[in-house]
Amino acid sequence: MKKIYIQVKTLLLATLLLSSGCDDYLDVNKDPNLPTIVPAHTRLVGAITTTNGASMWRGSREVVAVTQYASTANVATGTNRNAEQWRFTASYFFWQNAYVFTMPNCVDLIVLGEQEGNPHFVGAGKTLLALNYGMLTDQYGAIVVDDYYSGKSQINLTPKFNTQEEVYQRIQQLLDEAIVAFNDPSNKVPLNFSGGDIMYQGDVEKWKRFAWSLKARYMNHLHKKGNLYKPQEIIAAAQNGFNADGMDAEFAYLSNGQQTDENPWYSWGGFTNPDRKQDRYFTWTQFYIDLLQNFPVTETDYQDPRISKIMTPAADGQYRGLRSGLGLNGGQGGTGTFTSENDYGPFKNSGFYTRATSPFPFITYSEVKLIEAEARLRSADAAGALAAYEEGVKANMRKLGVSANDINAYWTAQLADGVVAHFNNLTQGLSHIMRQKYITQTLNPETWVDMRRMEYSQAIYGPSLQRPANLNTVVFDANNPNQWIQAMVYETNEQNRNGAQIGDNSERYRLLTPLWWNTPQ
Amino acid sequence: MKIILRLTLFALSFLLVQASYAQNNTVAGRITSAEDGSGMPGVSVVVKGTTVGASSDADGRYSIQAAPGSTLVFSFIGMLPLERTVSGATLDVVMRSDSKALEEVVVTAFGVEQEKRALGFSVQEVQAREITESQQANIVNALQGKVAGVQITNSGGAPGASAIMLIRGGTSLSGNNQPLYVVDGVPVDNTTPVSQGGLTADVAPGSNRAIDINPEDIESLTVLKGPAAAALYGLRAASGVVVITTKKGSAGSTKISYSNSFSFDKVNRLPELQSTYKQGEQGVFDATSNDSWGPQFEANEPVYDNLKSIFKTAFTQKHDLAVSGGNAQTSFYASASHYDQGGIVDNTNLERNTFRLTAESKVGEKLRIGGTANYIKTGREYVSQGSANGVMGAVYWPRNDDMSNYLNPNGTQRTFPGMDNPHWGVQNKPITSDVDRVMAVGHVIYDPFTFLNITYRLGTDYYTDNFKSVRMPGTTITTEEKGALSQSTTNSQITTSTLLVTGKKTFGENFNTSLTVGHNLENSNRQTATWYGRNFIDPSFAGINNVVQSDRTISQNISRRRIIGVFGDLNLDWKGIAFLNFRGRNDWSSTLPVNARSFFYPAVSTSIVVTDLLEEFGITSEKGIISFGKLRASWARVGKDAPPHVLATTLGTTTNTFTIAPRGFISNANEYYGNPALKPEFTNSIEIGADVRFLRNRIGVDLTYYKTSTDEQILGTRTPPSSGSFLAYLNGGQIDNEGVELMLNTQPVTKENFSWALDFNFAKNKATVKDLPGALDRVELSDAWAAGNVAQGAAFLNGSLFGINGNVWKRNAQGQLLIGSNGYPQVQSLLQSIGDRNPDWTGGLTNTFNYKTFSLSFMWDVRIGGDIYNATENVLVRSGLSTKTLERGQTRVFEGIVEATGQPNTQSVVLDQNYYQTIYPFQGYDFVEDGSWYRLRYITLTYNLPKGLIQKTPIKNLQVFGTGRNLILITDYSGVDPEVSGSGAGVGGSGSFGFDNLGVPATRGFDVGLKVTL
Repeated sequence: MKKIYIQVKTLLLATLLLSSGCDDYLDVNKDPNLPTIVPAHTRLVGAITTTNGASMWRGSREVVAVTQYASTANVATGTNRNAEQWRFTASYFFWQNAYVFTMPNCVDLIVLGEQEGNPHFVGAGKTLLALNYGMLTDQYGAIVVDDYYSGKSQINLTPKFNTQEEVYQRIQQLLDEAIVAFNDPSNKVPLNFSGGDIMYQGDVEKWKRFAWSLKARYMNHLHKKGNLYKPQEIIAAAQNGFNADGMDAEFAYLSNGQQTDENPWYSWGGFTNPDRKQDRYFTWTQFYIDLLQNFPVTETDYQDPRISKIMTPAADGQYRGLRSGLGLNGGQGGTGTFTSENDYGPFKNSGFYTRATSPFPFITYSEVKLIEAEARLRSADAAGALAAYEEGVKANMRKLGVSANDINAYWTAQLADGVVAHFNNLTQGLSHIMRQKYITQTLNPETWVDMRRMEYSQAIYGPSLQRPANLNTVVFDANNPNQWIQAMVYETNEQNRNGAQIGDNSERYRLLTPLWWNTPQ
Repeated sequence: MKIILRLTLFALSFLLVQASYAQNNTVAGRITSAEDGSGMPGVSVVVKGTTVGASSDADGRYSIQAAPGSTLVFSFIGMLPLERTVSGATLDVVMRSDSKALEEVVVTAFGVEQEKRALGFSVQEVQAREITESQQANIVNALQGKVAGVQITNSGGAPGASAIMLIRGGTSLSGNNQPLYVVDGVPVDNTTPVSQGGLTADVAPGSNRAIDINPEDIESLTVLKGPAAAALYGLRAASGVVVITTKKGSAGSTKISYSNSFSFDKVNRLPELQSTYKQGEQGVFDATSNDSWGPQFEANEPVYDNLKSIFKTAFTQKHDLAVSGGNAQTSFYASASHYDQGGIVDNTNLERNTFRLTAESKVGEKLRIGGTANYIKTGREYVSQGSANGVMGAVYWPRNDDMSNYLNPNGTQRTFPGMDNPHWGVQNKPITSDVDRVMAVGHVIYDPFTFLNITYRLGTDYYTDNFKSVRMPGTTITTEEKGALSQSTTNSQITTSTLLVTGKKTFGENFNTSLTVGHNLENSNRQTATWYGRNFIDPSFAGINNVVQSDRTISQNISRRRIIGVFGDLNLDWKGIAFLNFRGRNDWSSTLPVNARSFFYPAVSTSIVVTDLLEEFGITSEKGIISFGKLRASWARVGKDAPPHVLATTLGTTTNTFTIAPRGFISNANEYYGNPALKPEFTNSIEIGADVRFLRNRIGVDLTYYKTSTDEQILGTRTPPSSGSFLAYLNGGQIDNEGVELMLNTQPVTKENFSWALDFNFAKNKATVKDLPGALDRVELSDAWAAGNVAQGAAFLNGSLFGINGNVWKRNAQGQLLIGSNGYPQVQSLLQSIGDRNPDWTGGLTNTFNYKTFSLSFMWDVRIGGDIYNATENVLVRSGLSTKTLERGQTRVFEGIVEATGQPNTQSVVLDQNYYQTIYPFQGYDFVEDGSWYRLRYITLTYNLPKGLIQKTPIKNLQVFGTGRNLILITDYSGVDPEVSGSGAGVGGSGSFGFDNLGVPATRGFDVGLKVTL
């Protein structure tokens, strides 16, 4: 009996030893290949770069065809043509580039900043997250916010969508919290501790102004929403936003590195084919060239000095553009003349926005001044609006390297053309502001928001603005020139995996239905 | 195993021999095996109706005292008993194996042999002869058609192509459904890399590593199909186990055997291409185009068979040498083999050299020590596939042009823009994989008392795989025009330690019990370094040192897993009539969260020999038509852990080529979102079956029904982007498998000089996805995309685990086509289920005829149902070479509703190049075909030279054989041999079988060879 007892005891002891040694033996599951957590200061650069080169890039890649900045040469087939002719389907991938490639980095930055006691990273994360939500909701309407990745708990398999009205509240709330965080004196590790703040090199004041600028942008979208539209708050936010040159939210892309270090409009975004006719965009549109060659309201001929900064003329020195939807065979502005490749300057590497190292700005001082101009104009402050407008235009010219003489000459000509009087008329004033925003926001998806807010009005954008040729008539009525594209179709992956939340995702419904901010109160 | 049995009986028989020594009228002779002609030791010889008996010696010789006219009964476990009348002083007999003999024992868990009649679940054993006669390099392929409920798909005709084995369907939506391979009690690696050197499996599918096992080394192979059978092997056995027992030495004179074979193979089947239209675009000839959308061929204009030009007749040779022997203390078996398989495409081959030594020695009476060392060197050369740049690129090549003319006069590649000439590629884009592998096992067996056995076994399986893929300068691959190479080195090791303690006790006379408790440790490490370089400095040399530093990239991947298991196995039997078995195992796995890493799973099974039971109770006195009847039932549960390193989400420094280089760490969108709350998954199964034999066992029917259910799966799945990830690991989803298996074994003729055995097996399995997490209605397999990205493998909720997810025409709710404003149908953006790759049933029919020393054996392999997605045809449509494009130029009014107007379509449109290139091939439905087949998998004739011819030579036995493989294939499938897999065996979940994706097609051929035993 005693023998058995000893045996049992030995067995128990062995089991005990086994189970404690066991845990050590089994402790080999930590991923030996990649880290799972790194400090916030090493995550900042990724949050900035992906917000630009994944999220905003994919929110612009096709939209610049909708906003008629650029045009493709070959309109017979292909995805380039599809965007230009509004043939959007659920195979439009801004959604995943924001939600998967970009925004988890912003959320992680917030979570890490809170864990580490470094509120400045919380502020940076929240500012960039708000920007991403803003860009998303302005293309899709209802989006996932409350049920999105939290960085703390498990991911949500069927996230619920928030209405656009709720999303706009969340954006303002995130930006308010970001500003509070930037003001928090308890921050220990500075933003640029490891060189990751490629926008502001650790200047928290600029980050704060970036957040205020975004507040102004998103408040300014609500002018159709009755008392949700508060112009004085917009003006106040704009004044807390960028207030001088050199603080635009942007960073330079890199050359001499990997191809994806370069600006996407220069190379990896569809611009690597030796045959430039196969590029995603072949040249700029005639519509944009017209905007740069005519003053608003009067359509007086005046060549904007920025044209040579943004574009390269054709071999014969002329600026020509294509008509959206017609391609190279349609000729200049769809006239059928000038149908050879050499009649057009390039899109890629043509100027300020499409060089290898060009920055791709999130929001600029110039845009903020033009937002302020719109808010003042809508609150019957014509003089204040004009002053903000003048600064907005000149700031952009200075940024693009236009000489002081050319700037002054341009402004003198504007005055001579009646800009002061135009600002006494809402539509005419808006025409000035929106056409200047179009130029100052070159390639930025924010322009699509402006054009929809303005109902794609020719009174605003001039007679050159027309629906594209070879339109997608499955969705759009060929005979109704006022029927324009309003929103994007939710991505196929979301529809397949979270379909119950999406509702009607037919192209007809999605492309034609105006967003909440574009419907009258 | 059989040899050990024979030896045991041999030893016992000495007593009998002694007892019968004093008799007169000596009859002597030699007892040989019909299988290999070798002498059979230990066969019992009894004079019928007496107690006079004898036993054969190590060489099969016997002598017995018997009167003329009396009858001798020869019997041996596993062999059909023989009765012969004494008519002289000499009586030689040939015994035939009864592979289904009821007293046969099978190896189940950890090298433990169990009586088959005691098993409460279905196992199926395949003998050495059946394995080798199929003449397959890959042991997995050697089982094709042999085992009910096991579906094997070789992934193509390239030497070294991976073979996929699915036992009773699949239980995992995203994980590996391949069974565990166990050699002599030690698990070995059967990994198939799903990408190597950065090349994905659809481009360069790797081998499954069981290919390193030399089939000639195998004595027997047992397939444990269900969790009840496999449970003791632990969590890695959830998909079944292939238990391999290798050949061992036996006491007696040293035996040397040599065998060889020489094989010739050619491509089995190729798709039919149109020969009406030649090169060009929109009906106009264009010598620079690789489209066949030009004008019609002129009369007498040559039409080249470019597709055929890439294939040749392959030559394969195989040499096997084995030496075995031993004495009362020590036995050994040594083998060496050389296998050199040529491919039907230039520069493709598989060369395998193996050396193996196994020995066991007795130390005193109670201790045995043994071990096996096996060194294998496997080299493989292959070529890329799956796209225009691969081996089947001829499907893009206009037939008025001779593709085999692949060099320009200046030595550069002669091809079309955007693709490499396949002939050039075969010469200039080699892919090689060189594996050095060592499998070593040592064991100690200690029997301190007759009722107690202690066995300890330590084994390791270690290999290095050096992979290299070269694209020489001059390729058209974008960014690699100046040459590129991808290399990787993988080191993989699995080390296993197993301790078994078995005690046996008999209570009274009728109750026997045995209890085994065991402990098991398994340690797996896999480390891969991958490097890539492009822009060769010197264009003629392919090596990483031949590119500048900035053109090199390197990465590393390490995977580690450790498992500890403790298990018990309790067997109870009553008079050998009723059996009850309880099993339980607890595992601790490193891959699960600490609080969930320990999990227990039990199994219970029972078996009742009804015929013996009735006899025992006196209900029946002797066996009638039904000579044997057994019922069995089991219930089991088996757990499974997570893949290594998936509990946390990793950060990465790259995204893809469509987004900015992030310049720092970002969340890793390419990886699965980690889940720190994973739990083990469990598969529950029930199985019932009956084994009934008629007419003195000459007809046997074995029927099994099973149902398994795997729920709360550890699932790597797609998630909505708004979750923050594309991919996540989670517990969820349920798969049910339900099926029946039937084995019919008959011996219609068993005459002395002629016998005929006919074996048939049938299996039907239905794998249904019962539940998926979240709002998912399918689990997509991105590793199983087919060319053109029109279809992929996927599992569908309430549908098949083996579905095809593809693009379809846009239709309204009534199912009418929604026609675009241009009059053509449109492709909808949502993919749908367009096919089910799961066969309705599979079967195998094997006939074996023996006439004197001739033996003819052939097997029909049947697969009925099971769709194939023909991506090759899809490409042919685009290039204009498909016979489907012969309708070009015709007009059609597509029946449907014009989407923009809601009115019925009346617009007549032309079926032109644009339609066939930009509309039609973007729906996958029309490219799904029935993949049913009937094939004569092999037919083999062997002839053993009569003893008279060789008795004066040292040769004990000489056998020659000829085999034909795949000589007959009956199928309605329009493309290549329908035994296809797009990306090979490495794809998890439902795998990539059933995707015809521009791979090297399967072959047919014949083999001749001989086997000599000295």
